[in-house]
Amino acid sequence: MAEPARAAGSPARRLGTLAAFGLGACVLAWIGWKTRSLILPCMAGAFLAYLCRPAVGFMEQRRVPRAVAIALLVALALGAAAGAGHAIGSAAPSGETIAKLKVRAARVAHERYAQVMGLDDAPFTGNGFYRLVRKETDPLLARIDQFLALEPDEAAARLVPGSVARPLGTIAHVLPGWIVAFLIFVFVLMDTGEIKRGLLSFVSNRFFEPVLSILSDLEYTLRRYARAVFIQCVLLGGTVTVTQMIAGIPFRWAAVIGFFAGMANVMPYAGITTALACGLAYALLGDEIRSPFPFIDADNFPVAVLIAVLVTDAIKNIVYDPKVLGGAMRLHPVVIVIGVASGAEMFGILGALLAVPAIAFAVAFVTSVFRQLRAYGEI
Amino acid sequence: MTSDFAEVPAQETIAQFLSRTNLFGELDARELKWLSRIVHVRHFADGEFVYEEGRPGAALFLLRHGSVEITRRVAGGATLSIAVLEPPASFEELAALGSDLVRWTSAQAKGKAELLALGRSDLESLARHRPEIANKVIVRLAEVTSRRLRIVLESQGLLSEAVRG
Repeated sequence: MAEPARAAGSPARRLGTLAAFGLGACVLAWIGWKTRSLILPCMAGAFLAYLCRPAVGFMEQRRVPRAVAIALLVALALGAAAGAGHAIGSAAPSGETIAKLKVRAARVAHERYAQVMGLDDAPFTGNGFYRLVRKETDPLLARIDQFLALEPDEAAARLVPGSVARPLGTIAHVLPGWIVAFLIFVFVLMDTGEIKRGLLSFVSNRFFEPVLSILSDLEYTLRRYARAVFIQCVLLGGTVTVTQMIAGIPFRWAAVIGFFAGMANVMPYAGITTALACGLAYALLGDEIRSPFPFIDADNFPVAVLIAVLVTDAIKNIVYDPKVLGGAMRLHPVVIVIGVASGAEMFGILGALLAVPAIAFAVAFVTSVFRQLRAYGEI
Repeated sequence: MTSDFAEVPAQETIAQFLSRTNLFGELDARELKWLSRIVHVRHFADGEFVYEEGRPGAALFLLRHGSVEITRRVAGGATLSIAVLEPPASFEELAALGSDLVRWTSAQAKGKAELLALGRSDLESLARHRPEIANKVIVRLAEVTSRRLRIVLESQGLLSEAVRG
């Protein structure tokens, strides 16, 4: 039998291949840089589509056509968003209420500070703790005052209710990006393998099976990560709700805090931070305490909330992270922190949200490429 | 429209071709249409390898046009021809069933050839979106594989020896 005609692996040919790869990478990088404003919406749309794929698959298995399933999903999401928007809009404090809350928060902060530092008894010297930490805490209190200070329009709103302008201009500015994200979302959800087939059609026969395996690895990683994050967000949201209720926050507010903490948990560490910030805000500003423990009162309410958040964090670290997220994302915490910070620096809040899945995807890509090319004897 | 492959109807769609294969002949038209959207069409030049012995397998192949020779390396570096396949043959079904398979033969196009490939990941995706089709396909793959195994064993006289022994 004749020996097959195979590409000769001469140094010149390898050099040519490397040069072609390098040139291709440069062109891709240039295109990526030029279209960088669209990268994030595309990523967001694709990631959201992956999160929604099981729902579409569930409906398809019940003989619902794919297009109808997607339309139902989009209608449901729009309905939920409209409902949530209406609820938030009706519950959101007016300009006047915000101004009042700010004034109240500043007053409570000063009262608590004076109480802890012993400034009620000795207005200038305070207690020993105050003398020890005053150099750090006084500027901190000043910064809180600065943060809570009324803007001129808010001061006016205090006099003329409901006159604070909303930043509609900002929404209009980001709208095209969200249209792109929506289109990508629908496009990825509609896909039944066409994207993969299209990519593979550019691959030579020699690399067909390795690339097929690499794409399979990437899809598996993304699916597993999306599922794990979704489950963890739900679990954390529920846990925050329960622990905050035990600490004394009424159910409706605990549920709201749990909801936002669960949502924020898409970004590492943001869920617990949200629970802490919102819980402490309620503990300092809220009047109602409904704890099953009689010893929790207005004086130790913030400490109870703090303990509740610490317990939630411990449950998350000991149970949820290893059991749920576990194998889905083996990234070092330092990599996560640097990645989130870099994402936030480059693309803002959405960049921070998508940093971890992007890093996990990149790591999976590099690992899979090396593993498959080695298995196929290409390197 | 003209075809490079005289033995095959030029206008035959992928779904029609799939209906002629041993593997997917029992699927209905709707299921075949769905399947035709996920298989990969690959074209091979004369002498080009479809796959090579010793490399992992990730897809099964269906020969649509042309012919493919299955070979195996033997002692001394020679190559033994095992079979020459004609359309609508299917081969390497095990690779699509998810076993971590290292191929023990090579497949090489004899003349120009067109093949359809169905990857393991395609089958997994099918199982998520159309489990009823995936179930039929997997059952059929298992049948074909077991039949092939029986043929191999019978050809080596192992079954009859086992029955006697």
